[in-house]
Amino acid sequence: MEDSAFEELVSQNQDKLLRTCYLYLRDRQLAEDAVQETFLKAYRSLPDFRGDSSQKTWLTRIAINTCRDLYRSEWFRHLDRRVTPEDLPERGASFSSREESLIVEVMRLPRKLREVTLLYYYHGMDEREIAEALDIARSSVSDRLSRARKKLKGMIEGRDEA
Amino acid sequence: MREEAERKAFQQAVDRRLSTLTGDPRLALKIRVQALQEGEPKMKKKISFALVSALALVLISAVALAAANWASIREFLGQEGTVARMNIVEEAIVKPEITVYDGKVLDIQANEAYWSEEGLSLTFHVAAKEADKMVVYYGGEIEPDENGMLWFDGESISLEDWRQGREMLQYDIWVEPTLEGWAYFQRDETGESYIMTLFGCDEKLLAKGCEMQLRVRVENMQTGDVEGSGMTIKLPPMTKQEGRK
Repeated sequence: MEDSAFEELVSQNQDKLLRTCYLYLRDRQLAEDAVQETFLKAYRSLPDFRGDSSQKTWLTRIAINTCRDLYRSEWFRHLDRRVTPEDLPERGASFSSREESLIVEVMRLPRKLREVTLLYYYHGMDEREIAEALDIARSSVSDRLSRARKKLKGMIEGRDEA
Repeated sequence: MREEAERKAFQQAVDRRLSTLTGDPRLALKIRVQALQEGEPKMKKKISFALVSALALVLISAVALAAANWASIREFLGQEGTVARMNIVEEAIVKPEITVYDGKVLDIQANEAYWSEEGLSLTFHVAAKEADKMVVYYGGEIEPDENGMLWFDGESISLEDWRQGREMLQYDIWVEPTLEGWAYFQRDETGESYIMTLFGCDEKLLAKGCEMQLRVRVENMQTGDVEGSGMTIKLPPMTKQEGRK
């Protein structure tokens, strides 16, 4: 892959992957590590990329599995797993309190529910793609999404403007 | 249509609230350089093979090994067949003392400390103060499978049958300032034995005796109540020993 193409791949995807990894790992430093590792894996395996899925889906799959690996190592580095709005990164663009609450509640979801929620809602993957990405049954994806929706108590539905 | 609207709202919420979370503009260059150098990703030392093995070992053997005295450093780290298999010098095992623990829901007892080339190993026994609650180590990831079943030693049991009406207190213990390390845990009928080995401790402090600050977090998995507390342990002067056999 040409340098310029790889730079484009990184620049187009890294913000979204960084936010995904942050929501998954609940730790900014770990999320940055995960994104770096994701792109390194992608760079090394690009020649083997078969194009069965979009590059975006392929990258997301690498990222979420990198997070899964890191998750098991995260236990010792964290300071506190309580998630409150104050724990989130500094504010930038305007947003509603409902949006902030949604972020916090997603971060509080159990890991297995959190990962399907991120893939389905943030990355727009369908249940089949999620099942393939996580190497689980499609019925498990449906079940976890259903449980995640219940836990989020309808927070995903409806939208209010900032 | 509704799903698309929900997705759009979700994406908008994330991108708005986390708008300051942006990537490194030089990341592509860094990756190429790193790949050219054929090096590993520049990441902090993460989980060791020992931890993966230990967690798997603990989960699959929780029933079979319930009778073993895993709270003992000699038993846990020194025996053939255990993951660490260290040369344990019994005289070098010291008794740490918890001088401060302000948590309300757990009883924590510090049992032993041992300093070797592997790091500083500390053992604790963790139990719930109330009989209708049980402790579960955070790293154990007690999560039912798709059919709602937990698996131990090849046997499955439903989460509800396993906890028998008790509330689950998911706990974690770590040192501050944060150090890398690994941990083992083992359940018994009274609670859990938790053993951590920390890398990179200040050797001068260990040699002359010191106090160590830890954090304990407990989350009640049924009620969602969370308790974060501090714990201070006092270590007598220690002598560094050889590592693995």
